[in-house]
Amino acid sequence: MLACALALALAGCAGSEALEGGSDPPSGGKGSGLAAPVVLPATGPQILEAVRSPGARAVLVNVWATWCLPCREEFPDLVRLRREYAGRGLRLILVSGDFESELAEVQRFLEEEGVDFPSYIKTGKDMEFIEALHPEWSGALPATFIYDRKGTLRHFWQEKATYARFEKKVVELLEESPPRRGRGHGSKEGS
Amino acid sequence: MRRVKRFAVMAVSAMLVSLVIPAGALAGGERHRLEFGSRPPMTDVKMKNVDGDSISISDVSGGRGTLVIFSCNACPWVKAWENRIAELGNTYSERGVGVIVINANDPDQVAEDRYEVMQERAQEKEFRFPYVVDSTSRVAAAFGATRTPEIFLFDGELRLVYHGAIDDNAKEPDKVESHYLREALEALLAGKPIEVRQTKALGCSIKFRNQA
Repeated sequence: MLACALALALAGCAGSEALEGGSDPPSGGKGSGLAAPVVLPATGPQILEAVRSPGARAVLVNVWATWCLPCREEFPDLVRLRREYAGRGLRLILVSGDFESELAEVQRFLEEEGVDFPSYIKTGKDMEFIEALHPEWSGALPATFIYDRKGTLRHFWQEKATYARFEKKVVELLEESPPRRGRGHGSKEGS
Repeated sequence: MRRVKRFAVMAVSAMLVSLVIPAGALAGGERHRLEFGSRPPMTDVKMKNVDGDSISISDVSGGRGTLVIFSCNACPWVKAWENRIAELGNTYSERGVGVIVINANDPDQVAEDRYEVMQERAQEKEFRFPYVVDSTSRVAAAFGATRTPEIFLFDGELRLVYHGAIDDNAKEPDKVESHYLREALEALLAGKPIEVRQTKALGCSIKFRNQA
């Protein structure tokens, strides 16, 4: 049920924007005073369900935490990236690794950063969450995972990144041609 | 029950692997990683302890095992586990395991990780084992450590036998279901195989100095 809710939540935001070539999301902006951002609890497999929800040409998953300095430093770039590329098919999935008891702090930070679309907070055991997202992920934050339109993981790193690095990897995927019908199954996409 | 859950995790992971491409093909995914059975690197590097002395991993290696913990002062996960780090370190150092806690974080990036705070923390938490500064972050890099806290446990012959997390619940000690490190230490001291050698937990990334 939760997986469905996650998929619907995404379909109602980044996904639909991607499908419709939508414009920038309504911007609350920093300190806009709008309602607290929606933050849904999610396990690793549920995040992957959200990744595979159709409609995106590229999906960037970023696992962050409010107390994680490098996470906070790169966060505005992620929000900017979504603003610039959601209309071309980028889906941004933000997952807080904060303890669930810190939800209010998570929402406060998201609001300050102008996040007005649903995002997630990790629930369940760390190890299951980490292994679900990538067996080579040590659990260090921040961590970024970039998937292509088929939901295949194409890039992964566990360190802070620059806007240029995010943009380069995402644009590469946005510009990839979709696989031809009837010939695409099992074919290897260029990297 | 725990075995069933573990199997379930492995099965889910195996299914999900089909969605990923090999790690080697992914940029920036992983630093060098110490393999099981490996010896600890840079064991003779002297590091400044909170008592002012300089000591190395070799200096503290125990005849029955050696526990190396990459940690720091500022990370909330470290703070959540800190009482357990103190208790485990004090308990097992008295039982013949060499224990050393290493802070590789660059205090220029996180001021709370400076030496003076390490001294305060070691005193406050009653560490009866060294808490030292990896002043270049190179020791952490050589271990392939990426986060705090991160555990490396070596046997009496200095072979890596356990790597990963302290237990499965940082936030709520009374709700821990799997005491990974304690179980590994008990198995090591009993001369038995360690059932779970590799575990993971979310943690703070190590704030490496630029030259590391």
